[in-house]
Amino acid sequence: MLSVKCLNVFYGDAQALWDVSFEVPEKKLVTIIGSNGAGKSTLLKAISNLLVSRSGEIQIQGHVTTGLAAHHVAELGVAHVPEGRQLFPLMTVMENLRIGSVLPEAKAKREETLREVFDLFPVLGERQSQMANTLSGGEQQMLAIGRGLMLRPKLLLLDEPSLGLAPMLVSQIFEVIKEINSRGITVLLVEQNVQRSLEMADEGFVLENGRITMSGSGQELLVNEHIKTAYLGL
Amino acid sequence: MDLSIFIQTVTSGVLLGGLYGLIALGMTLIFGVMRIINLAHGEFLMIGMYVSYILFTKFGVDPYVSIVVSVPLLFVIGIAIQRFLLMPLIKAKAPGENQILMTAGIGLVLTNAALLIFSPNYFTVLTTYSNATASIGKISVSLPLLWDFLICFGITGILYLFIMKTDTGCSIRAVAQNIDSARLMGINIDRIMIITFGVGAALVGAAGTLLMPIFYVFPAIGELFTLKAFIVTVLGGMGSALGALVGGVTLGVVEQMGATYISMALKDALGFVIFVLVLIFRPSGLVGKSRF
Ligand SMILES: Nc1ncnc2c1ncn2[C@@H]1O[C@H](COP(=O)(O)OP(=O)(O)OP(=O)(O)O)[C@@H](O)[C@H]1O
Ligand SMILES: [Mg+2]
Repeated sequence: MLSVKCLNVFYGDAQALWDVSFEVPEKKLVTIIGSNGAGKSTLLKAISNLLVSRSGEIQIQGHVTTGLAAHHVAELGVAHVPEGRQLFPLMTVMENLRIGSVLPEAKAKREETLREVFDLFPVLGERQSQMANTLSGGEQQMLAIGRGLMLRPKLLLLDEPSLGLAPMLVSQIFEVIKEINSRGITVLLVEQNVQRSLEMADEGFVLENGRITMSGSGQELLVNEHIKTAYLGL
Repeated sequence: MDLSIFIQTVTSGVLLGGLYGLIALGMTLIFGVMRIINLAHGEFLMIGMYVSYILFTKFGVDPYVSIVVSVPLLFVIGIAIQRFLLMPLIKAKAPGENQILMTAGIGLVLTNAALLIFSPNYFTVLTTYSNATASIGKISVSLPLLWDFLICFGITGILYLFIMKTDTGCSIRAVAQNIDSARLMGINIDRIMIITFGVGAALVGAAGTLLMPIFYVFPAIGELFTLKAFIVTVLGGMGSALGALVGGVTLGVVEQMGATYISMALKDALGFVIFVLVLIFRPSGLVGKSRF
Protein backbone atom coordinates (compact mmCIF):
# COMPACT_ATOMS: atom_id res chain seq x y z
CA MET A 1 0.00 0.00 0.00
CA LEU A 2 2.58 2.49 1.21
CA SER A 3 6.28 2.07 0.90
CA VAL A 4 8.82 4.61 2.10
CA LYS A 5 12.45 4.20 1.12
CA CYS A 6 15.45 6.08 2.51
CA LEU A 7 13.50 9.24 3.11
CA ASN A 8 15.42 12.35 4.13
CA VAL A 9 13.51 15.51 5.04
CA PHE A 10 14.93 18.88 6.01
CA TYR A 11 13.60 22.11 7.48
CA GLY A 12 16.04 24.53 5.93
CA ASP A 13 19.41 23.14 6.99
CA ALA A 14 18.06 21.11 9.86
CA GLN A 15 17.47 17.48 9.04
CA ALA A 16 14.27 16.09 10.58
CA LEU A 17 14.16 12.60 9.03
CA TRP A 18 17.16 10.38 8.35
CA ASP A 19 16.97 7.49 5.90
CA VAL A 20 13.51 6.48 7.00
CA SER A 21 12.28 3.28 5.39
CA PHE A 22 9.20 1.24 6.18
CA GLU A 23 6.16 -0.36 4.59
CA VAL A 24 2.49 -0.34 5.36
CA PRO A 25 0.75 -3.40 3.91
CA GLU A 26 -2.75 -3.21 2.47
CA LYS A 27 -5.64 -3.18 4.99
CA LYS A 28 -3.30 -3.23 7.99
CA LEU A 29 -3.16 -0.87 10.91
CA VAL A 30 0.38 0.32 11.44
CA THR A 31 1.48 2.67 14.17
CA ILE A 32 4.47 4.94 14.55
CA ILE A 33 5.47 5.82 18.05
CA GLY A 34 8.06 8.28 19.20
CA SER A 35 8.56 11.07 21.69
CA ASN A 36 7.95 14.77 21.11
CA GLY A 37 10.00 16.12 18.28
CA ALA A 38 10.96 12.67 16.96
CA GLY A 39 9.64 13.58 13.51
CA LYS A 40 6.30 11.76 13.42
CA SER A 41 4.29 14.67 12.07
CA THR A 42 7.09 15.46 9.67
CA LEU A 43 6.89 11.91 8.34
CA LEU A 44 3.13 12.11 7.75
CA LYS A 45 3.50 15.48 6.07
CA ALA A 46 6.18 14.07 3.82
CA ILE A 47 3.88 11.17 2.86
CA SER A 48 1.02 13.51 1.97
CA ASN A 49 3.51 15.82 0.24
CA LEU A 50 2.79 18.86 2.37
CA LEU A 51 6.55 18.73 2.79
CA VAL A 52 9.01 18.18 0.00
CA SER A 53 11.51 15.42 0.74
CA ARG A 54 15.17 16.05 -0.04
CA SER A 55 15.79 12.47 -1.12
CA GLY A 56 14.27 9.02 -0.99
CA GLU A 57 11.17 7.58 -2.54
CA ILE A 58 7.56 7.19 -1.49
CA GLN A 59 5.23 4.79 -3.30
CA ILE A 60 1.51 4.60 -2.78
CA GLN A 61 -0.18 1.61 -4.40
CA GLY A 62 2.73 1.32 -6.75
CA HIS A 63 2.67 5.00 -7.79
CA VAL A 64 5.78 7.00 -7.01
CA THR A 65 4.43 10.11 -5.30
CA THR A 66 7.67 11.85 -4.43
CA GLY A 67 7.57 15.27 -6.05
CA LEU A 68 3.85 15.30 -6.79
CA ALA A 69 1.67 18.18 -5.62
CA ALA A 70 -0.19 17.38 -2.40
CA HIS A 71 -3.59 17.29 -4.08
CA HIS A 72 -2.41 14.52 -6.41
CA VAL A 73 -1.56 12.39 -3.39
CA ALA A 74 -5.10 12.96 -2.08
CA GLU A 75 -6.37 11.86 -5.49
CA LEU A 76 -4.63 8.54 -4.94
CA GLY A 77 -6.88 7.99 -1.94
CA VAL A 78 -4.71 9.25 0.89
CA ALA A 79 -6.48 11.19 3.64
CA HIS A 80 -4.26 12.90 6.19
CA VAL A 81 -5.94 13.92 9.46
CA PRO A 82 -3.36 16.38 10.74
CA GLU A 83 -2.18 17.02 14.27
CA GLY A 84 -4.23 19.75 15.92
CA ARG A 85 -7.28 19.07 13.72
CA GLN A 86 -6.67 21.95 11.30
CA LEU A 87 -10.35 22.36 10.50
CA PHE A 88 -11.77 25.18 8.42
CA PRO A 89 -12.75 27.34 11.38
CA LEU A 90 -15.32 29.60 9.72
CA MET A 91 -17.18 26.76 8.08
CA THR A 92 -19.97 24.68 9.54
CA VAL A 93 -19.59 21.01 10.38
CA MET A 94 -21.48 20.16 7.21
CA GLU A 95 -19.27 22.38 5.06
CA ASN A 96 -16.12 20.88 6.53
CA LEU A 97 -17.40 17.43 5.63
CA ARG A 98 -18.47 18.56 2.21
CA ILE A 99 -15.08 20.04 1.44
CA GLY A 100 -13.58 16.68 2.37
CA SER A 101 -15.34 15.22 -0.65
CA VAL A 102 -14.61 17.64 -3.47
CA LEU A 103 -12.63 15.11 -5.48
CA PRO A 104 -14.82 13.57 -8.21
CA GLU A 105 -14.87 10.00 -6.88
CA ALA A 106 -15.68 11.11 -3.35
CA LYS A 107 -18.22 13.61 -4.58
CA ALA A 108 -20.18 10.95 -6.41
CA LYS A 109 -20.69 9.12 -3.11
CA ARG A 110 -21.01 12.17 -0.89
CA GLU A 111 -24.47 11.39 0.53
CA GLU A 112 -23.59 7.79 1.23
CA THR A 113 -20.32 8.68 2.96
CA LEU A 114 -22.06 11.38 4.98
CA ARG A 115 -24.42 8.77 6.38
CA GLU A 116 -21.51 6.53 7.29
CA VAL A 117 -19.71 9.38 9.03
CA PHE A 118 -22.83 10.35 10.98
CA ASP A 119 -23.19 6.69 11.97
CA LEU A 120 -19.67 6.67 13.36
CA PHE A 121 -20.01 10.09 14.98
CA PRO A 122 -23.68 10.82 15.71
CA VAL A 123 -22.71 14.08 17.39
CA LEU A 124 -21.58 15.46 14.02
CA GLY A 125 -25.02 14.79 12.62
CA GLU A 126 -26.59 16.68 15.49
CA ARG A 127 -24.29 19.64 15.03
CA GLN A 128 -24.30 19.90 11.25
CA SER A 129 -24.80 23.64 11.10
CA GLN A 130 -22.53 24.58 13.99
CA MET A 131 -19.34 26.45 13.17
CA ALA A 132 -16.21 24.34 13.46
CA ASN A 133 -14.46 26.88 15.67
CA THR A 134 -17.20 26.61 18.29
CA LEU A 135 -16.98 22.80 18.64
CA SER A 136 -15.42 21.22 21.72
CA GLY A 137 -11.99 19.68 21.32
CA GLY A 138 -13.44 16.17 21.12
CA GLU A 139 -16.02 17.17 18.55
CA GLN A 140 -13.34 18.89 16.53
CA GLN A 141 -11.29 15.71 16.50
CA MET A 142 -14.28 13.70 15.34
CA LEU A 143 -14.92 16.24 12.64
CA ALA A 144 -11.28 16.09 11.54
CA ILE A 145 -11.50 12.30 11.22
CA GLY A 146 -14.93 12.52 9.59
CA ARG A 147 -13.62 15.05 7.09
CA GLY A 148 -10.79 12.67 6.25
CA LEU A 149 -13.22 9.80 5.74
CA MET A 150 -15.30 11.89 3.34
CA LEU A 151 -12.49 11.43 0.83
CA ARG A 152 -13.26 7.69 0.89
CA PRO A 153 -9.58 7.04 1.50
CA LYS A 154 -7.71 3.83 0.87
CA LEU A 155 -4.97 5.00 3.22
CA LEU A 156 -5.77 7.06 6.31
CA LEU A 157 -2.96 8.95 8.05
CA LEU A 158 -3.89 9.87 11.61
CA ASP A 159 -1.67 12.27 13.56
CA GLU A 160 -2.28 12.01 17.32
CA PRO A 161 -6.07 11.72 17.14
CA SER A 162 -6.37 11.24 20.92
CA LEU A 163 -4.36 14.33 21.82
CA GLY A 164 -6.01 16.37 24.56
CA LEU A 165 -9.11 14.21 24.86
CA ALA A 166 -10.73 12.89 28.04
CA PRO A 167 -10.18 9.12 28.66
CA MET A 168 -13.77 8.27 27.69
CA LEU A 169 -13.34 9.98 24.35
CA VAL A 170 -9.93 8.43 23.82
CA SER A 171 -11.52 4.99 24.06
CA GLN A 172 -14.24 6.02 21.66
CA ILE A 173 -11.75 7.37 19.13
CA PHE A 174 -9.68 4.18 19.29
CA GLU A 175 -12.82 2.09 18.80
CA VAL A 176 -13.67 4.13 15.74
CA ILE A 177 -10.16 3.74 14.33
CA LYS A 178 -10.43 -0.03 14.75
CA GLU A 179 -13.82 0.04 13.05
CA ILE A 180 -12.49 2.11 10.15
CA ASN A 181 -9.62 -0.31 9.69
CA SER A 182 -11.96 -3.29 9.77
CA ARG A 183 -13.84 -1.74 6.83
CA GLY A 184 -10.74 -2.25 4.74
CA ILE A 185 -9.08 1.14 5.05
CA THR A 186 -5.34 0.95 5.65
CA VAL A 187 -4.41 3.07 8.66
CA LEU A 188 -1.10 4.67 9.58
CA LEU A 189 -1.50 5.92 13.13
CA VAL A 190 0.83 8.26 14.96
CA GLU A 191 0.18 8.26 18.70
CA GLN A 192 1.54 9.30 22.07
CA ASN A 193 -0.84 6.82 23.61
CA VAL A 194 1.66 4.04 23.03
CA GLN A 195 -0.07 1.35 25.03
CA ARG A 196 -3.37 1.55 23.21
CA SER A 197 -1.98 2.02 19.76
CA LEU A 198 0.40 -0.93 20.06
CA GLU A 199 -2.39 -3.13 21.42
CA MET A 200 -4.43 -2.35 18.36
CA ALA A 201 -1.73 -2.24 15.70
CA ASP A 202 -0.69 -5.05 13.38
CA GLU A 203 2.75 -3.53 13.21
CA GLY A 204 4.65 -0.73 14.86
CA PHE A 205 7.72 1.38 14.17
CA VAL A 206 9.65 3.42 16.66
CA LEU A 207 10.91 6.79 15.49
CA GLU A 208 13.68 8.39 17.53
CA ASN A 209 15.43 11.61 16.57
CA GLY A 210 14.28 11.27 13.00
CA ARG A 211 15.39 7.66 12.58
CA ILE A 212 13.48 4.41 12.70
CA THR A 213 15.14 2.51 15.51
CA MET A 214 12.86 -0.45 16.03
CA SER A 215 10.03 -2.32 14.44
CA GLY A 216 7.87 -5.33 15.09
CA SER A 217 4.34 -6.48 15.63
CA GLY A 218 2.31 -4.56 18.16
CA GLN A 219 2.56 -7.40 20.66
CA GLU A 220 6.35 -7.72 20.27
CA LEU A 221 6.88 -4.04 20.89
CA LEU A 222 4.57 -4.03 23.90
CA VAL A 223 6.77 -6.49 25.72
CA ASN A 224 10.06 -4.98 24.57
CA GLU A 225 12.16 -3.72 27.52
CA HIS A 226 13.24 -0.51 25.82
CA ILE A 227 9.68 0.36 24.86
CA LYS A 228 8.49 -0.46 28.36
CA THR A 229 10.92 1.91 30.02
CA ALA A 230 11.05 4.67 27.41
CA TYR A 231 7.42 4.86 26.30
CA LEU A 232 5.21 2.99 28.71
CA GLY A 233 6.78 4.25 31.91
CA LEU A 234 6.90 0.76 33.36
CA MET B 1 -29.06 71.40 11.04
CA ASP B 2 -31.37 70.76 8.14
CA LEU B 3 -32.63 67.21 8.41
CA SER B 4 -33.31 66.75 4.73
CA ILE B 5 -29.73 67.72 3.84
CA PHE B 6 -28.51 65.21 6.36
CA ILE B 7 -30.70 62.43 4.96
CA GLN B 8 -29.68 63.41 1.45
CA THR B 9 -26.03 63.20 2.41
CA VAL B 10 -26.34 59.83 4.10
CA THR B 11 -28.38 58.43 1.22
CA SER B 12 -25.87 59.38 -1.43
CA GLY B 13 -23.10 58.17 0.87
CA VAL B 14 -24.70 54.76 1.20
CA LEU B 15 -25.34 54.48 -2.53
CA LEU B 16 -21.80 55.49 -3.41
CA GLY B 17 -20.60 53.18 -0.65
CA GLY B 18 -22.23 50.21 -2.34
CA LEU B 19 -20.02 50.86 -5.34
CA TYR B 20 -16.95 51.26 -3.11
CA GLY B 21 -17.90 47.95 -1.58
CA LEU B 22 -18.01 46.25 -4.96
CA ILE B 23 -14.65 47.79 -5.89
CA ALA B 24 -13.11 46.42 -2.71
CA LEU B 25 -14.83 43.03 -2.90
CA GLY B 26 -12.34 41.73 -5.45
CA MET B 27 -9.38 43.06 -3.51
CA THR B 28 -10.54 41.48 -0.27
CA LEU B 29 -11.26 38.16 -1.99
CA ILE B 30 -7.77 38.11 -3.51
CA PHE B 31 -6.23 39.08 -0.19
CA GLY B 32 -8.14 36.35 1.63
CA VAL B 33 -6.80 33.61 -0.61
CA MET B 34 -3.40 34.89 -1.75
CA ARG B 35 -2.45 37.08 1.23
CA ILE B 36 -1.35 39.84 -1.12
CA ILE B 37 -2.77 43.27 -1.87
CA ASN B 38 -3.36 43.63 -5.57
CA LEU B 39 -1.92 47.04 -6.38
CA ALA B 40 -3.20 46.84 -9.97
CA HIS B 41 -6.76 46.77 -8.67
CA GLY B 42 -7.59 50.35 -9.63
CA GLU B 43 -6.15 49.73 -13.08
CA PHE B 44 -8.51 46.78 -13.53
CA LEU B 45 -11.30 49.22 -12.69
CA MET B 46 -9.89 51.58 -15.30
CA ILE B 47 -10.04 48.82 -17.94
CA GLY B 48 -13.69 48.22 -17.06
CA MET B 49 -14.34 51.94 -17.51
CA TYR B 50 -12.55 52.20 -20.85
CA VAL B 51 -14.41 49.13 -22.09
CA SER B 52 -17.72 50.87 -21.40
CA TYR B 53 -16.42 54.05 -22.91
CA ILE B 54 -15.28 52.43 -26.15
CA LEU B 55 -18.39 50.31 -26.55
CA PHE B 56 -20.54 53.37 -25.97
CA THR B 57 -18.74 55.81 -28.25
CA LYS B 58 -17.86 53.37 -31.05
CA PHE B 59 -20.87 51.07 -31.04
CA GLY B 60 -23.50 52.95 -29.08
CA VAL B 61 -23.73 50.19 -26.47
CA ASP B 62 -25.43 51.28 -23.27
CA PRO B 63 -22.84 51.43 -20.46
CA TYR B 64 -24.90 49.07 -18.33
CA VAL B 65 -25.01 46.51 -21.11
CA SER B 66 -21.25 46.64 -21.55
CA ILE B 67 -20.91 44.78 -18.25
CA VAL B 68 -21.36 41.57 -20.25
CA VAL B 69 -18.08 42.39 -21.99
CA SER B 70 -16.06 43.93 -19.16
CA VAL B 71 -16.71 41.13 -16.68
CA PRO B 72 -15.53 38.21 -18.88
CA LEU B 73 -12.64 40.31 -20.21
CA LEU B 74 -11.36 41.17 -16.75
CA PHE B 75 -11.88 37.57 -15.66
CA VAL B 76 -9.58 36.40 -18.46
CA ILE B 77 -7.05 39.14 -17.72
CA GLY B 78 -7.06 38.20 -14.04
CA ILE B 79 -6.58 34.53 -14.84
CA ALA B 80 -3.71 35.28 -17.19
CA ILE B 81 -1.97 37.54 -14.68
CA GLN B 82 -2.16 34.96 -11.91
CA ARG B 83 -1.14 32.11 -14.18
CA PHE B 84 1.72 33.75 -16.06
CA LEU B 85 2.98 36.57 -13.84
CA LEU B 86 2.22 35.74 -10.22
CA MET B 87 2.31 31.94 -10.16
CA PRO B 88 5.95 31.78 -11.30
CA LEU B 89 6.85 33.93 -8.28
CA ILE B 90 4.94 31.61 -5.95
CA LYS B 91 6.62 28.56 -7.52
CA ALA B 92 10.01 30.19 -7.04
CA LYS B 93 9.07 30.59 -3.36
CA ALA B 94 9.60 34.33 -3.64
CA PRO B 95 8.30 36.28 -0.63
CA GLY B 96 4.81 37.81 -0.85
CA GLU B 97 6.30 41.29 -1.26
CA ASN B 98 7.59 40.27 -4.69
CA GLN B 99 4.08 39.43 -5.79
CA ILE B 100 2.82 42.78 -4.53
CA LEU B 101 5.62 44.54 -6.43
CA MET B 102 4.61 42.57 -9.50
CA THR B 103 1.01 43.82 -9.22
CA ALA B 104 2.33 47.36 -8.80
CA GLY B 105 4.35 46.88 -12.00
CA ILE B 106 1.32 45.53 -13.83
CA GLY B 107 -0.60 48.61 -12.70
CA LEU B 108 2.10 50.91 -14.07
CA VAL B 109 2.14 49.12 -17.40
CA LEU B 110 -1.65 49.32 -17.68
CA THR B 111 -1.69 53.02 -16.79
CA ASN B 112 0.93 53.83 -19.39
CA ALA B 113 -0.74 51.68 -22.00
CA ALA B 114 -3.94 53.65 -21.38
CA LEU B 115 -1.99 56.88 -21.69
CA LEU B 116 -0.64 55.74 -25.03
CA ILE B 117 -3.98 54.57 -26.38
CA PHE B 118 -6.39 57.10 -24.93
CA SER B 119 -4.25 60.22 -24.25
CA PRO B 120 -4.32 61.78 -20.78
CA ASN B 121 -7.75 63.31 -21.41
CA TYR B 122 -10.80 62.76 -19.25
CA PHE B 123 -13.72 60.98 -20.90
CA THR B 124 -17.31 60.55 -19.85
CA VAL B 125 -20.27 58.85 -21.42
CA LEU B 126 -23.32 61.02 -21.79
CA THR B 127 -26.53 59.01 -21.87
CA THR B 128 -30.11 60.13 -21.73
CA TYR B 129 -30.23 59.15 -18.08
CA SER B 130 -26.86 60.51 -17.01
CA ASN B 131 -28.37 63.38 -15.11
CA ALA B 132 -31.69 61.77 -14.25
CA THR B 133 -32.67 61.79 -10.61
CA ALA B 134 -35.23 60.03 -8.51
CA SER B 135 -36.78 62.04 -5.72
CA ILE B 136 -38.79 61.24 -2.66
CA GLY B 137 -39.90 64.42 -0.95
CA LYS B 138 -36.91 66.72 -0.66
CA ILE B 139 -34.40 63.91 -1.16
CA SER B 140 -33.19 63.34 -4.67
CA VAL B 141 -30.64 60.83 -5.80
CA SER B 142 -28.90 60.28 -9.10
CA LEU B 143 -30.75 57.55 -10.94
CA PRO B 144 -27.62 55.84 -12.34
CA LEU B 145 -26.14 55.84 -8.84
CA LEU B 146 -29.26 54.16 -7.52
CA TRP B 147 -29.10 51.54 -10.26
CA ASP B 148 -25.41 51.03 -9.53
CA PHE B 149 -26.23 50.40 -5.92
CA LEU B 150 -28.90 47.85 -6.77
CA ILE B 151 -26.69 46.08 -9.30
CA CYS B 152 -23.87 46.00 -6.74
CA PHE B 153 -26.23 44.20 -4.42
CA GLY B 154 -27.21 41.79 -7.15
CA ILE B 155 -23.57 41.03 -7.96
CA THR B 156 -22.76 40.57 -4.29
CA GLY B 157 -25.69 38.17 -4.04
CA ILE B 158 -24.37 36.13 -6.95
CA LEU B 159 -20.91 36.10 -5.38
CA TYR B 160 -22.46 34.97 -2.11
CA LEU B 161 -24.15 32.02 -3.78
CA PHE B 162 -20.96 31.13 -5.62
CA ILE B 163 -18.71 31.33 -2.56
CA MET B 164 -21.10 29.68 -0.12
CA LYS B 165 -22.92 27.09 -2.18
CA THR B 166 -20.66 25.71 -4.89
CA ASP B 167 -17.75 23.32 -4.41
CA THR B 168 -15.40 25.76 -6.11
CA GLY B 169 -16.60 28.54 -3.82
CA CYS B 170 -16.15 26.32 -0.76
CA SER B 171 -12.66 25.47 -2.00
CA ILE B 172 -11.86 29.18 -2.23
CA ARG B 173 -12.94 29.63 1.38
CA ALA B 174 -11.02 26.53 2.40
CA VAL B 175 -7.79 27.87 0.89
CA ALA B 176 -8.36 31.21 2.64
CA GLN B 177 -8.97 29.55 6.01
CA ASN B 178 -6.31 26.84 6.06
CA ILE B 179 -4.21 26.36 2.97
CA ASP B 180 -2.48 23.13 4.06
CA SER B 181 -5.75 21.48 5.02
CA ALA B 182 -7.17 22.56 1.68
CA ARG B 183 -4.28 20.74 -0.03
CA LEU B 184 -5.03 17.62 1.99
CA MET B 185 -8.63 17.68 0.77
CA GLY B 186 -7.29 17.27 -2.75
CA ILE B 187 -7.89 20.89 -3.70
CA ASN B 188 -5.62 22.15 -6.45
CA ILE B 189 -4.36 25.34 -4.81
CA ASP B 190 -2.92 26.78 -8.02
CA ARG B 191 -6.24 26.39 -9.78
CA ILE B 192 -8.15 28.02 -6.92
CA MET B 193 -5.74 30.96 -6.87
CA ILE B 194 -6.13 31.44 -10.61
CA ILE B 195 -9.92 31.38 -10.35
CA THR B 196 -9.86 33.71 -7.36
CA PHE B 197 -7.70 36.26 -9.13
CA GLY B 198 -9.99 36.03 -12.15
CA VAL B 199 -13.12 36.51 -10.06
CA GLY B 200 -11.52 39.37 -8.13
CA ALA B 201 -10.60 41.14 -11.37
CA ALA B 202 -14.04 40.47 -12.86
CA LEU B 203 -15.73 42.03 -9.82
CA VAL B 204 -13.74 45.24 -10.05
CA GLY B 205 -14.25 45.23 -13.84
CA ALA B 206 -17.99 45.22 -13.19
CA ALA B 207 -17.50 48.08 -10.74
CA GLY B 208 -15.60 50.05 -13.39
CA THR B 209 -18.42 49.65 -15.84
CA LEU B 210 -20.95 50.72 -13.22
CA LEU B 211 -18.82 53.72 -12.33
CA MET B 212 -18.64 54.97 -15.92
CA PRO B 213 -22.12 56.56 -16.13
CA ILE B 214 -21.50 58.67 -13.01
CA PHE B 215 -17.79 59.43 -13.26
CA TYR B 216 -15.08 60.06 -15.81
CA VAL B 217 -12.14 57.96 -16.86
CA PHE B 218 -8.50 58.92 -17.37
CA PRO B 219 -5.30 56.86 -17.40
CA ALA B 220 -4.18 57.66 -13.86
CA ILE B 221 -7.54 56.94 -12.27
CA GLY B 222 -6.30 53.56 -11.05
CA GLU B 223 -4.19 54.72 -8.12
CA LEU B 224 -7.08 56.69 -6.68
CA PHE B 225 -9.27 53.63 -6.60
CA THR B 226 -6.57 51.18 -5.56
CA LEU B 227 -6.20 53.40 -2.51
CA LYS B 228 -9.93 53.54 -1.87
CA ALA B 229 -10.24 49.79 -2.29
CA PHE B 230 -7.37 49.33 0.14
CA ILE B 231 -8.99 51.60 2.73
CA VAL B 232 -12.28 49.75 2.38
CA THR B 233 -10.55 46.37 2.58
CA VAL B 234 -8.82 47.33 5.81
CA LEU B 235 -11.99 48.93 7.23
CA GLY B 236 -13.84 45.72 6.56
CA GLY B 237 -11.23 43.45 8.09
CA MET B 238 -8.98 42.16 5.28
CA GLY B 239 -10.53 39.17 3.60
CA SER B 240 -14.16 39.45 4.60
CA ALA B 241 -16.62 40.08 1.77
CA LEU B 242 -19.27 41.28 4.18
CA GLY B 243 -16.63 43.56 5.67
CA ALA B 244 -15.92 45.05 2.24
CA LEU B 245 -19.56 46.06 1.91
CA VAL B 246 -19.73 47.51 5.42
CA GLY B 247 -16.39 49.25 4.87
CA GLY B 248 -17.54 50.57 1.50
CA VAL B 249 -20.72 52.07 2.90
CA THR B 250 -18.78 53.52 5.84
CA LEU B 251 -16.31 55.20 3.53
CA GLY B 252 -19.08 56.45 1.24
CA VAL B 253 -21.03 58.01 4.09
CA VAL B 254 -17.95 59.53 5.71
CA GLU B 255 -16.84 61.07 2.43
CA GLN B 256 -20.24 62.54 1.69
CA MET B 257 -20.60 63.90 5.20
CA GLY B 258 -17.19 65.46 4.89
CA ALA B 259 -18.06 67.00 1.54
CA THR B 260 -21.37 68.41 2.84
CA TYR B 261 -20.43 69.59 6.29
CA ILE B 262 -16.71 70.28 6.20
CA SER B 263 -15.35 70.90 2.75
CA MET B 264 -15.32 69.20 -0.61
CA ALA B 265 -11.53 69.34 -0.60
CA LEU B 266 -11.29 67.46 2.69
CA LYS B 267 -13.54 64.56 1.78
CA ASP B 268 -10.74 62.22 0.80
CA ALA B 269 -8.68 63.18 3.84
CA LEU B 270 -11.61 62.23 6.05
CA GLY B 271 -11.52 58.75 4.57
CA PHE B 272 -7.97 58.43 5.89
CA VAL B 273 -8.98 59.69 9.31
CA ILE B 274 -11.55 56.90 9.59
CA PHE B 275 -8.98 54.46 8.25
CA VAL B 276 -6.50 55.40 10.96
CA LEU B 277 -9.14 55.38 13.68
CA VAL B 278 -10.28 51.90 12.73
CA LEU B 279 -6.69 50.67 12.64
CA ILE B 280 -6.14 52.03 16.14
CA PHE B 281 -9.39 51.01 17.79
CA ARG B 282 -10.54 48.00 15.78
CA PRO B 283 -7.46 46.58 14.08
CA SER B 284 -9.39 43.49 12.99
CA GLY B 285 -11.76 45.71 11.02
CA LEU B 286 -15.38 46.70 11.43
CA VAL B 287 -16.66 43.21 10.78
CA GLY B 288 -13.67 41.05 11.67
CA LYS B 289 -13.73 37.40 10.74
CA SER B 290 -16.92 36.44 8.96
CA ARG B 291 -18.12 33.43 7.06
CA PHE B 292 -18.63 35.36 3.86
N1 LIG C 1 8.23 24.12 10.30
C1 LIG C 1 9.35 23.70 10.92
N2 LIG C 1 10.49 24.40 10.80
C2 LIG C 1 11.62 23.98 11.42
N3 LIG C 1 11.69 22.89 12.17
C3 LIG C 1 10.58 22.15 12.33
C4 LIG C 1 9.35 22.53 11.71
N4 LIG C 1 8.42 21.63 12.04
C5 LIG C 1 9.03 20.72 12.83
N5 LIG C 1 10.33 21.03 13.00
C6 LIG C 1 11.31 20.28 13.78
O1 LIG C 1 11.37 18.97 13.26
C7 LIG C 1 11.46 18.02 14.32
C8 LIG C 1 10.34 17.01 14.22
O2 LIG C 1 9.09 17.66 14.42
P1 LIG C 1 7.71 16.91 14.33
O3 LIG C 1 6.65 17.94 14.43
O4 LIG C 1 7.72 16.06 13.17
O5 LIG C 1 7.75 16.05 15.66
P2 LIG C 1 6.66 15.05 16.23
O6 LIG C 1 7.30 13.74 16.36
O7 LIG C 1 5.42 15.16 15.46
O8 LIG C 1 6.44 15.67 17.69
P3 LIG C 1 5.10 15.79 18.57
O9 LIG C 1 4.88 14.47 19.20
O10 LIG C 1 5.45 16.82 19.60
O11 LIG C 1 4.02 16.20 17.65
C9 LIG C 1 11.43 18.83 15.61
O12 LIG C 1 12.76 18.97 16.05
C10 LIG C 1 10.87 20.15 15.21
O13 LIG C 1 11.38 21.19 16.00
MG1 LIG D 1 3.55 15.77 15.83
